[in-house]
Amino acid sequence: MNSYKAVAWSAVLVSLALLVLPRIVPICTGLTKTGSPMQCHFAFQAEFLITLLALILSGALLVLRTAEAKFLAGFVILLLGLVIVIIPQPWALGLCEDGGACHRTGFFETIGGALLVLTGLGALWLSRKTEVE
Amino acid sequence: MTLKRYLAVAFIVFVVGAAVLYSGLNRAPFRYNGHVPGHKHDSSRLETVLLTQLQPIAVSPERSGRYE
Repeated sequence: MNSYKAVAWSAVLVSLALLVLPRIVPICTGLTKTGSPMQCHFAFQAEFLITLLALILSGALLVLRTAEAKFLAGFVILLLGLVIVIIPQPWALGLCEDGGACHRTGFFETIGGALLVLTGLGALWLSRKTEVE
Repeated sequence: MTLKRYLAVAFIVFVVGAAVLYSGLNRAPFRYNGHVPGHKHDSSRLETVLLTQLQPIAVSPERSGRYE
């Protein structure tokens, strides 16, 4: 297995791990006084959709053949990883202010997003090398 | 696998993911704390009474339960 395939598979694995993360490390399950879900619920629903796109693009790294397409897919994976890191920030969607269980999930989500950024960078770098050759 | 076939699989994956999101399988279930939102018991009009606002009630010695 060459390094490009290793990067692509690790992007797939990181995306899958991020998809099931709120199941393994649960977010706040309580409701507000009005009966609506807490703030972190909406942030992690958005994270799920973004991670779903990251999973599809990570799989595409294994299917795409031209260097330009791989380069573009790596770049979009990098951007999606950044979005995953940004969403839990208080100036974006944010998590619960009183520091509930969601902050622990957000911590692991941030680590996963950073790993996805690294895999995107790796795919960029390796497809750039292929393009030069 | 060709790109067209992968895109078809990716679309199915996306639709399944959206269904999972809709059904709430992607997260732990909500905790209702014994009450269901919108239930009739949520609109209780029971008012709390401050202990400082209670007036002492005069009790006669015969009714106090202490016979000496």
